[in-house]
Amino acid sequence: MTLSGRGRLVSWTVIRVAPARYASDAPYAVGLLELAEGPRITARLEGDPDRLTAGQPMGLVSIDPARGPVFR
Amino acid sequence: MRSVAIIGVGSTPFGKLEGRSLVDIAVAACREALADAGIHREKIQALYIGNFIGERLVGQGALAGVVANRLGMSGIPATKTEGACASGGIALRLGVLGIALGLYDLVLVAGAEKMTSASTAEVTAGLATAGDEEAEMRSGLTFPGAFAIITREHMARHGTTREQVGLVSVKNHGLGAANPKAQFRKPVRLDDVLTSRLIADPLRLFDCPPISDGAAAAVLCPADWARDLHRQPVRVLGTGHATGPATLWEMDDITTFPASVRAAQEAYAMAGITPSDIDAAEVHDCFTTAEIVATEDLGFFARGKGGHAVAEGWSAPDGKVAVNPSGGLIAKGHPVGATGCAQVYELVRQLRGEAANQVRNCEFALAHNLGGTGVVSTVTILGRL
Repeated sequence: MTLSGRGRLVSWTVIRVAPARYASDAPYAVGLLELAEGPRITARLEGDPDRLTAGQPMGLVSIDPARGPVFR
Repeated sequence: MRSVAIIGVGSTPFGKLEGRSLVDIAVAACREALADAGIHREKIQALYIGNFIGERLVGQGALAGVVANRLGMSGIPATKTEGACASGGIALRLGVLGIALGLYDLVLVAGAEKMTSASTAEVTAGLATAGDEEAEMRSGLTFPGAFAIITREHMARHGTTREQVGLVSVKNHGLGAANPKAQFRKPVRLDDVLTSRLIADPLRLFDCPPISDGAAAAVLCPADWARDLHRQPVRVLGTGHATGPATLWEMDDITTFPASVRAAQEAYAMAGITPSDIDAAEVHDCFTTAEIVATEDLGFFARGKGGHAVAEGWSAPDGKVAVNPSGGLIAKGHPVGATGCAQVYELVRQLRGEAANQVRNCEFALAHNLGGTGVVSTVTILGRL
């Protein structure tokens, strides 16, 4: 299966109390996304967390070596 | 398989136990359980102890052998069990099976965790190891974060309100206030919950359990022996143990944990009872939303109606089923490895009529322990012998 990198936002949170390794990232958003091809993924989200809405389309922007896929 | 009874329970207070190490508190809870059972330590034939992150937080591994030695029980088979927050419930399950299968006659089960000597960032990182690091947690998701994602979905899918979720904390803090073993001894109002500091939106400080030190223990024997050993023995009627998805993204519906449902089905079937028979339940409220989900998964309330149930008082001590009469993890505290055994401590006292928030006519009780976001669950059903 080839993934397009597109999906929609199912649910998300804004992490304000972070684990030590990501302390300097806080606050940051993490979301549960449903990819266009069907599978779901949990991924770091970029952009203003206050503007996130359920069901909104999101796309892969990068794959961070530590954090994994990042969507916006 | 033989029937199993519980003839002694012990628990430290939960909280910041200054100057007391992980081994100290495990030993203290074990000694209290032995005293309650009236059993000399030399008679114990096996020890099972649950602990999640002792190596990581306080540099103490090999806990089962170290505790057995410190108790003066060197030589017996001693096993540490780990299943994230279900570590204690798994210890109990193995102790029950050891007697049921005729391997042992007198078994000590325990759970312990020492968390307050580490920083919040270290504890947060340690708790995150209950998730799937490569497949999910490396994104920076935390446990409050995972349950926050679940909360948002429970609200969207089932119409649960932020206020209903907050009422779980109000109920549990109110109950903890009367429990001498609880970490939090003050009631809170809904407004306090809804304005407390955001941890992972939409979950706030009072939606979460505290970081705690604590240990709890129980002494088990064959049911046939129990009446000769204790005036008020409790019988283990059923036990269930199941695994489930380790990540949110692998779950078909993030508002239910298949491991809880499956473990509960096994326990109910073994006990020959149904959810409506349960009078008191200690369920895994690792966050407010987790209690709502648990009451649905355990069959106390219809799917999606757990929030409504709290608001209606159906899970209060005088409700349809008393949920978390101890104050739950949220108010009693959640020294992770200890929780499964602490739930049994409360329920044994409920069945004996000795609990702080005593449920009237408590005949059947259920302990539900959940690891991570449902990677493992144990359910134990208890009744009077």
